[in-house]
Amino acid sequence: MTPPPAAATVTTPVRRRPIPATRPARPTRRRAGGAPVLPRRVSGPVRARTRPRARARAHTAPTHISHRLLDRLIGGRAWIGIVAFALIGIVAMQLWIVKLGVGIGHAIEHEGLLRRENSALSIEDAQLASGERVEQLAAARGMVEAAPGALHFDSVRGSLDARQAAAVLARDAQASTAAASTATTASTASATTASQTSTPAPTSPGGSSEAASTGTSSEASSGEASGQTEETPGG
Amino acid sequence: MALSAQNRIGALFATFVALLVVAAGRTLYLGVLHAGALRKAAHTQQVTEETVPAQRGTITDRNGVILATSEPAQEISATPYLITDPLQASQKLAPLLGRPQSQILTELSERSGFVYLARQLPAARAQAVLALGIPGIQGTPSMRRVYPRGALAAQVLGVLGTEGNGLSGLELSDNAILRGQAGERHVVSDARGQAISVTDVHREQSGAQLTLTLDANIQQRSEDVLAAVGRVFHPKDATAIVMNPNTGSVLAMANWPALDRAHPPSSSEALEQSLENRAVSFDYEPGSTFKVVTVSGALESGVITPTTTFAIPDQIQVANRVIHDAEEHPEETLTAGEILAQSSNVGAIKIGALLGPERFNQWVHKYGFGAPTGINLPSQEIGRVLAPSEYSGSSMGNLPIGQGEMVTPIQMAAAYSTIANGGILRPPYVIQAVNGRAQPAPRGRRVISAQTAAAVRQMLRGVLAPGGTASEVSIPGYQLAGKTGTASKIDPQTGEYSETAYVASFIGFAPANDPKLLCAVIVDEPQTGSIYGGTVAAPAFGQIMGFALPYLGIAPE
Repeated sequence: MTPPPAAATVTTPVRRRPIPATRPARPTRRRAGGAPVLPRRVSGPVRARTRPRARARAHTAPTHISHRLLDRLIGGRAWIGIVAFALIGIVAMQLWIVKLGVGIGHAIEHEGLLRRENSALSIEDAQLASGERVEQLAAARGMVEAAPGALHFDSVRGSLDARQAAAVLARDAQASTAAASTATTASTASATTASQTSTPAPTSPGGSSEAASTGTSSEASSGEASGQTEETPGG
Repeated sequence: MALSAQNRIGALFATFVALLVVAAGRTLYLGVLHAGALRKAAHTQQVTEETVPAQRGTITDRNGVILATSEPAQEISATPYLITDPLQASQKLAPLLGRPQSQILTELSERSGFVYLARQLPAARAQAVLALGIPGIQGTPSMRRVYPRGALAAQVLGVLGTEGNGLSGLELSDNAILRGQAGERHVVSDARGQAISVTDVHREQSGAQLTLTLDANIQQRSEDVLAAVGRVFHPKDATAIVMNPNTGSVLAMANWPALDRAHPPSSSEALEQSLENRAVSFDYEPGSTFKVVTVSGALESGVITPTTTFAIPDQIQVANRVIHDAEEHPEETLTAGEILAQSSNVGAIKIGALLGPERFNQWVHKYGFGAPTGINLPSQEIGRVLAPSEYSGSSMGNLPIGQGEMVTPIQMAAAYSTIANGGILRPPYVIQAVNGRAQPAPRGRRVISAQTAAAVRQMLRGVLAPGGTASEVSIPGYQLAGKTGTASKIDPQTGEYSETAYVASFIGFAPANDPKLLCAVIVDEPQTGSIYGGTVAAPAFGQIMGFALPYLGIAPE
């Protein structure tokens, strides 16, 4: 590798235009080879020549900031995270859509199953409600169909029926109250008698039987009372 | 050593490059050269356009009892040339399809591309068939019509064909609203056949739900009673109609013989007969039940009153014909009411003569004979009514007693409803609601005055009273009114009235003073026992009404 002779570079002819005499001399830098070097351009927005200085400053300041942010964002590592997150998100969303589709498929299958079951149940219900079947079951239990003449229809008498029903209910309530007070009196009396006798007081079975008998009598009395009142409308 | 490492790295690099080239080549082959075929295959395997069958509308009675409904089913078909072992396949399929194995084997052995193995197989069984996983066996979703109450009201409801369209009854007349509209679904499945994307191209629309005016229990009782009539009198056929005379709503429309849906008759003639709804399609000469038209027309026209008396001989000559009463009797004097109660032919002819042909004909048309009643059921006949210009000299000896004109049971029931409800002819109807929306009851028109209707009702009570033609029929506690009919049929061989073929009928209502229920029973050609309306049809009327009146909560008078 022999280097080229130095004279070769020196003897390279350079044609130049003559510089006019009126133009001020400009400091120019020359490369090593002798070629002129232009001044380095400064990066940044082109300044509007006609714009007033204050307005220009107001507009250029935020642009500078956003560019810096953008530069940092693109040049920084956060960008990798954002892209990764977006990619994972897209894949997850796709999976979610597929899963949703599968879910819909299952739901439709389930809907079909439910529809089938519903149909089957409604058919079974209609079959079970068949008059023929009900008659057969009733006959098996010893029931017979009432003859048309054996049926009695009660006629509605408007407010009269309502008044009578209210009277029956009131009498019923009175009777049960009276029966309850009688039962209380009876139990008090029996308790007094028991405490007066020398025999030790009966344990719970005796007491409960007494109470039970009292209860029975009260029930019987209320039953009688209700029996009497039930006869009233018929009469 | 270093050289060796470089070689190894070079070899690894070369391997990766080779693999990359293979992968690129494969990608090129799959993605470019063979792309069309693969795309087509994937589309076939993964994407399906499913038809979603529409659920045919349910038909219920007035109380919501299901009379006809649809359940999901499948059409099971086979592609025989895809079945590698037909014998084994037929063995597995036979019990599930409920068909003989030999039949299935024959079908699977055919070298054809498509064969149906089962139509409208219930979904549960179809799932079991498809779960066998036999290649070449596939299912197509469909719907299956089910009649949970079997033969109940079969002639009114009708039947469906294999393609799901109505062939008779309401299934035919209301097919358009019952059938609904099938939907279409776009399904993408994964490699395991699992749906991963389901899109409705258009949703299916279920058919409309019909609520009928029929009452399943009254219908059942009517059919049971007709079956008993069939067992006792062995008629050709029979029909019964139960309706509310005040609205025209039909509560029961029974036919005998019944249609066995599980085992329909094999012969087309027998099938046609068992599908026929005789209540609307049976043309017959009504006989004495038609005398009501003559008498009510004469009353309304003012030519008679209920107490007008007539001298009634045993027979009467009209032109060249001599017409007798049913029983021989000396000449007697009867009122118009007694003529109706005793069903005197001579008396009815005399009343008809007072009306004259023109006015008589007007009354026949006013009652709706010779025209459709308006009931929304198919295969409806309109009968046949002569125009006065077609009358012969003896026509006025026939027509007033119900001979010489043809009517249908539903026309007669509508005419009697007019008398029962106070004089308004209302079109009978069987559809109460569609999709739960009540259908407006058809409008009626006045035919006779309320006074005339009441007078005729009073006369008709006499038919079931002692001395009447149906005096043996009674329902304890209820006042009944009605009319018997025993009409000779024309012998098709001779063209004359037959001496052996009759139509026995009874049409009546209750309670007589304030009718709430009407029943018509028509028995065609009873063969054994009796032929008379009073003994064949009237007891059936009594049995049906004896159940229906208390069942509907209609109090005795």
